Amino acid sequence: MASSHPEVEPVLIVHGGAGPIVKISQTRVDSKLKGVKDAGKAGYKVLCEGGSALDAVQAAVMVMEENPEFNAGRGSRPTALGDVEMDAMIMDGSSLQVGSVACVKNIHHPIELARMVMDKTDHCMLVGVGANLFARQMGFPLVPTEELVREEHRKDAREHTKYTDAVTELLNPGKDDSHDTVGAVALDAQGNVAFATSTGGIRSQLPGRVGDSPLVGCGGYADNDIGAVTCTGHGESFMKCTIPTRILNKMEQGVSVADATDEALTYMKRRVNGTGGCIVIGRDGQTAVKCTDNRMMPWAIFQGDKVKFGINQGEQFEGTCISQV
Amino acid sequence: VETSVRILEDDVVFDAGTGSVLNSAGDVEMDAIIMDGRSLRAGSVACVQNIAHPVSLARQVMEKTDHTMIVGEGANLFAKELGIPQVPPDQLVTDIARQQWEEYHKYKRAVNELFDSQLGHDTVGAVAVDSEGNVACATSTGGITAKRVGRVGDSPVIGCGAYADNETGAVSCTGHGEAIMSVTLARTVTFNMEQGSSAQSAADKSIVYMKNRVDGTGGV
Repeated sequence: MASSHPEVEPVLIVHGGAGPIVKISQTRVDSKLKGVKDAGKAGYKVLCEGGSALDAVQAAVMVMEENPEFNAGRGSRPTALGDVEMDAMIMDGSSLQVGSVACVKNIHHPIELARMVMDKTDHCMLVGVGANLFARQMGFPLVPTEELVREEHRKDAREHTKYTDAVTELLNPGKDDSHDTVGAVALDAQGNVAFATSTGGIRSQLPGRVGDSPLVGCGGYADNDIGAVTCTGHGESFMKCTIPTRILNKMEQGVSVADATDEALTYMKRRVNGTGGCIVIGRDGQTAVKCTDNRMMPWAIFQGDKVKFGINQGEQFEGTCISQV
Repeated sequence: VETSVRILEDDVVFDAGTGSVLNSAGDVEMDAIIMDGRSLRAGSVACVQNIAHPVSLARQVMEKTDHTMIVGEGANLFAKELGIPQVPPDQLVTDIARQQWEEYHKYKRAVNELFDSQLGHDTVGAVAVDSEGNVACATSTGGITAKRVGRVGDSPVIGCGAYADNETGAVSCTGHGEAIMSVTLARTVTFNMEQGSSAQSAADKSIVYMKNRVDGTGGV
């Protein structure tokens, strides 16, 4: 592929959502770590074969949407009315083009629909009935709600019909891993960055509630001149502070990827008492994975021939990268 | 800011509340946001139908829920719960909006062309600072004529169509929604102010930046 940029080393980061710190079985831990590694592998393969950052983040997120372990696509949480309303967004850092969908129902891959909003319409965002109408025009098969929800989550929803209770409980550590939005950021060999994110929302949310994920600058942002960010956590807090644009703004002023990420999360805690996590890539390939200290977040970074991954605070494992790429 | 925007929503001249433009299906879908710079609390609604004052519904999202944004049928459900009276769709639609829509259907013009011809998207907005130094912003719109059903522009998206922060200032935007979203225009303005630009110079820089990066036009 012809490009004016010198070749750079591709990087891809994925996360499987930042939930409160809870005791979960080793089996669940392993399953979440396997989930992020599988997703990362799919995205990194795209990069290693010369594909774009945009295609790579989409591929990674689609794998997590397919995995019922994560709250996106299959595995989404029902609203107060028992429906599943999903949000997703994708952004191309080379053109600043955005595609996003919110409150879309009964499809497997909201991220694929978000990509089509970007590629096939003059718009950035479609919501609700209009998003489903567009899905139909694009030939997406309708999936019954039952296929998207795990039985245990349906039970949860019955127990927490009031969103207020759900939020208070969820944001206080000690119970359930409740809103594990998924996301990916990537830098390709041509120096392009992109991000993608997808979520099934917070259980028992009001119908029509939209969190940070599908909102540009809130759930993520990508700009070839600086880098790419995507977030997970208490959506309303990320929205109020527009955390991704804050991180990139600091990076633009010369702050390192790690310091910019720390600063933004500290800022969010101070201004609106919000918590969550971010994954960040700089245009030079620097990376940061960070979540506030009351949360755990499964993540994986693919760079060179190494994969680094972890789930608990401060934890980092390392392996060699998948031979097939 | 809510009071000012309500008056603009009532004015048939503006594309917000009464006077909103029609989407491709011939319906009115409205978006609005309000933000309190003291607490960074915000409320927004998108794709809401059949109410006279979307900005006041946005205010209720901020005051009465744990959420920041509610869209589509959920927004209308919320309006009903609050006892906000439904207005018949025809009451929001002006002859001009109807004509523009018919013209679009006659010529099948693309959204971009509609934008260039300056047809129908006069989003309204207001920013204010009070005597205690608190800032706030509000924006309300009927969108672009012949937009797809469910299309959401910059207006209700925090940091794109509006942003308010007591530590910097308040911004409300209007123009080509998709371009404003691509550069998160309101936030670009506040970041420039944070780095020491005056309000006017931050606004100028941000508009030039949007033109350079995505060839977008609009105002703040």
